[in-house]
Amino acid sequence: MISPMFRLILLAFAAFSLGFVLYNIRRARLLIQDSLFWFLFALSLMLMAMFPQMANAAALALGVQVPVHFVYLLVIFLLGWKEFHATLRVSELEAKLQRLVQELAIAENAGQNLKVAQESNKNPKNDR
Amino acid sequence: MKLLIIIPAYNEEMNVVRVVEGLRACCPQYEYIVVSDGSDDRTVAICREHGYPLLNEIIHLGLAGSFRTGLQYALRSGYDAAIQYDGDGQHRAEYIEPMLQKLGEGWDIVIGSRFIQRKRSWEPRMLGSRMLDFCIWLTTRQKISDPTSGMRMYNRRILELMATKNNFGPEPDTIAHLIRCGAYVCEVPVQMEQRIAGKSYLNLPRSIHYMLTMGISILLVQWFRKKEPLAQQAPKKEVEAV
Repeated sequence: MISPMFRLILLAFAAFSLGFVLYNIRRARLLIQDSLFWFLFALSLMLMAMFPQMANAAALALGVQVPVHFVYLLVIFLLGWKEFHATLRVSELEAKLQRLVQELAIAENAGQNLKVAQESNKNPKNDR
Repeated sequence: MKLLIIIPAYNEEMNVVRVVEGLRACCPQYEYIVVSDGSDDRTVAICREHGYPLLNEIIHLGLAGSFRTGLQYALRSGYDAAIQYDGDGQHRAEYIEPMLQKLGEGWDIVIGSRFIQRKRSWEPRMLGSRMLDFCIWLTTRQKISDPTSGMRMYNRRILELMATKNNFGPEPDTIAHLIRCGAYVCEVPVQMEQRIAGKSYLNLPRSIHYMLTMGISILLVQWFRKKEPLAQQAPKKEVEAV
């Protein structure tokens, strides 16, 4: 069985995560389109805390000895999955950033060359 | 009122000429710009060949991102209004005029709605649309008959918000949030074409993700967001908000 104390901690943690996510959306630091995972994460913790029978049943079905361990397992899986996707996202952004900076550098170089060419056109003396 | 028609186009080599030429034939009085969203087909080349005004994003940002690029351009070039006009040929140019008229009456956002006169069917896509308009009605008490219509026109003050602030993408949750901030939103009946060439962006996982995000955003997040101070400037003619 999941102890009442643990259920309370779970609930408090879920409420805290929810508040933290909402606070960051309010400050426009978190994009709503990226927040879905954290809402579902907080929701699943809340469900576990409010209906421990769910954890019991899942633990029984999976052969996990203690229901609490099922909760740990769930959290580890969810966070691991999220972390992998976050890494994918970082790689993607890294690649995009590189392309952007390269494009800018090349564009600036082209602009400089154009300027030099125009100036040497104005000053025939410097022209070779 | 100086209107900019923003045409987001991602790999629309099959459609872009037809869309722009149709637009120019129907309403040559308005200015437009194509925003190529990191297309890797011939979209950019075709626009250059035809001399269409073009913003060429070298990196794919997604529809919301590329529309925002268009909004940024509209903001800096001093336009009073902007409309999203999809590059796949779904939207029809003849409805731009009546939408702009509504904007002139003082509405902040005018949505081109497919479902004012025609009923929605019960296919899954339309079910999503029904759920969204119910969510919007719950939180704003305003009926939006076509919340997922991409054909929306915005006036200057909304355009400014959307171009500069986070979490103001061209989506139903933004409409709901803006209504709660005091924006005036109305709908104009339009018809849309079926997409002729190219493929649609939506698939099942994306649709579920979209619906969940929109649902949570409208029903939960909205209550915690900062309200933008939009001074109440009621439309001149208080026509019914259809």
